[in-house]
Amino acid sequence: MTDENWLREGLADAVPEPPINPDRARGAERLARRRRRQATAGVLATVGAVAGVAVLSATLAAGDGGKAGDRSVADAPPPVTCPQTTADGGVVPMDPIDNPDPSLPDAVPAGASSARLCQGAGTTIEVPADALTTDLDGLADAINGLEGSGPPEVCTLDLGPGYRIVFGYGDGSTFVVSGQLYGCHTLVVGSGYRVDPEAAEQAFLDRLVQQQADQPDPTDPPDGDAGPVVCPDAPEFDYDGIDDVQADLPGAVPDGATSVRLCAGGGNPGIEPADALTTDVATLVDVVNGLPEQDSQACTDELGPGYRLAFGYPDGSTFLAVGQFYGCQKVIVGSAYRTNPQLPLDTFIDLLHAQRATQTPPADLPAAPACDGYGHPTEALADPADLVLAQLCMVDDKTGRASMVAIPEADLAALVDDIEANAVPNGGVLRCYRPGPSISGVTAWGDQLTMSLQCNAYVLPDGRVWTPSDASQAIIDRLSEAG
Amino acid sequence: MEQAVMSPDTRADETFDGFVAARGDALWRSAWLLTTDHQLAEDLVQTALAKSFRAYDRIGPGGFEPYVRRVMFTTYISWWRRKWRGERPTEVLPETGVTGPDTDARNDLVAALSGLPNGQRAVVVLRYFEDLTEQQTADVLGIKVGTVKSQCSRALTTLRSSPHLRREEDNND
Repeated sequence: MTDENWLREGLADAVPEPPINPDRARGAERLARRRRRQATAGVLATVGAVAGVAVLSATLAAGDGGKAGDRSVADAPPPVTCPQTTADGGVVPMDPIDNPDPSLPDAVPAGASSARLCQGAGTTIEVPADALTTDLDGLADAINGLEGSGPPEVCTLDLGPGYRIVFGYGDGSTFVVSGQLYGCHTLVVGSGYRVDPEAAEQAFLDRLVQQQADQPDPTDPPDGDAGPVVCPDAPEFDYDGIDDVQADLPGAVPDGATSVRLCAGGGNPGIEPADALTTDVATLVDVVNGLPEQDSQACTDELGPGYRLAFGYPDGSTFLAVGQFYGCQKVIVGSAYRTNPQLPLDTFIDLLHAQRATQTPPADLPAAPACDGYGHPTEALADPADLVLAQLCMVDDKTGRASMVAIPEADLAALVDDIEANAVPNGGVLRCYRPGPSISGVTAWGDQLTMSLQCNAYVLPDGRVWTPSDASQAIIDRLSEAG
Repeated sequence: MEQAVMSPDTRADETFDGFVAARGDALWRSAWLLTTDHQLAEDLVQTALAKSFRAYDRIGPGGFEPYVRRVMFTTYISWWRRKWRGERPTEVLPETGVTGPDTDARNDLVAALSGLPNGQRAVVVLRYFEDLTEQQTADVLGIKVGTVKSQCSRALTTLRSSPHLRREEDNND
């Protein structure tokens, strides 16, 4: 038998039976929608903070009795608030408001003065800080336009996020639309069910993004500084040369940048931290401009990830330096090719860590991580010692059913202590299959990371390998059994 | 609404859901050979499908599978690149998991495959598991046919000299 035939047969024999996953298509569709929302996260994160300031300012002014003559603040009804929820093990239980109520209409009443996207029954979601106060009838129409349905008949056993859209009215009344993006995928509107909870949530988010985009930015300093730069849309593929030199640009990063953000480039996923670098930007500019120009095009056909450094200037303009860990292993700086894409990346990460050391993490906890895969965009930045939320992600080896269980705070602290004490640099990895949970977590800075189990050890994003102590393994086993 | 609406003329197997139902397991098998992990394989398939979802209507059922496959393999290569996964070579390997005798041969081949660089492993899976031609493999990975040939040749040389597989051959002798 030739090598090739032997290999063909060997590979065919080696592959185990796939797990049964009737929800694969729906899961991919949900993930696609999440990816689309994440693409607008930069807008949400930036102008969301702005709008949050605006709403907070209005609330503070109203709470202070309002200024004389400030009728718009004094007369406007306060934005609706979210119902209180309590997560148990990372999951918010069902509430009567998540079920149809025969005493209510079967459509969202018109005339709402505000609406909020709130936590619903299911795993936790990232709730926008600001209320929607524009195009509320449009949102009601979008939801009311979804096809009505009977009680759900086809459900899956998966667990996922749930939300509530709470409409507030001038008389103080509220109307709740409850959506579940898992299981039966129900969308409860008053007394009945409608299809497509994803569409209802997207209708809200689309309008919120538009509202935020339409609002002036009160944080713009008087000198016209546009604030930290935002990332451009990432290309899906860049192996075909979407990013390339532009003859009309300078071959070096212009001086005067006041912020720089690390953005995804070709070869997703790239590293895309939530925070911009605003200190010591000139050092990074010098590093990029100090890279030797690449004269020869000694390239390979190797594939790999890429990144973009977006430099921001006070007049709102941006300048991109594109790093490619594939092909010619180059950095594209305006009209010039330069070498060594690793150096600017390492420099940015070092500078961002240094900047964070002088700051406190955001007051709001980052969104709970999801067991949605590996290669989180920020994991190369994430330090397991900073983990604030984490969960075990498990797949039943026989049924293929995925499940997850939140790691309680005390248990997480114990695991982190063990990691810091016993994780081994350059510990090595042997890829072998052994059933066991991975650990997905998020740091106080919003960096997500996943620690995958290889044989009997976890691989950390910084290259260390952690073999859980007996006490840590007992925690993992206990939580796994509970899940 | 974002969901694809199925017209009366659209057959069920020509929808995105129909494609996933028909070809999802095949994609998972390739993903497993790339990742050698049940969960990672599912993650990889889901990610590739999610990245491709919005292209379904534009590409149509005829060309969708090559598109998804290209997304899946390029995603794999970007995920598992050593410097980004933080993995380091070592002379001391951690203890291996417990396996039964019926899985030894499988584990030997999988272990040998795992020793290949990502690009070579992707080429091997496409050529010898998916049975693609060199040209088709090149198209999936977006590289030249010559690169496929050289990667394949290096991969076979590495596999031939792998201690995992040599030991099996010795035993068979």
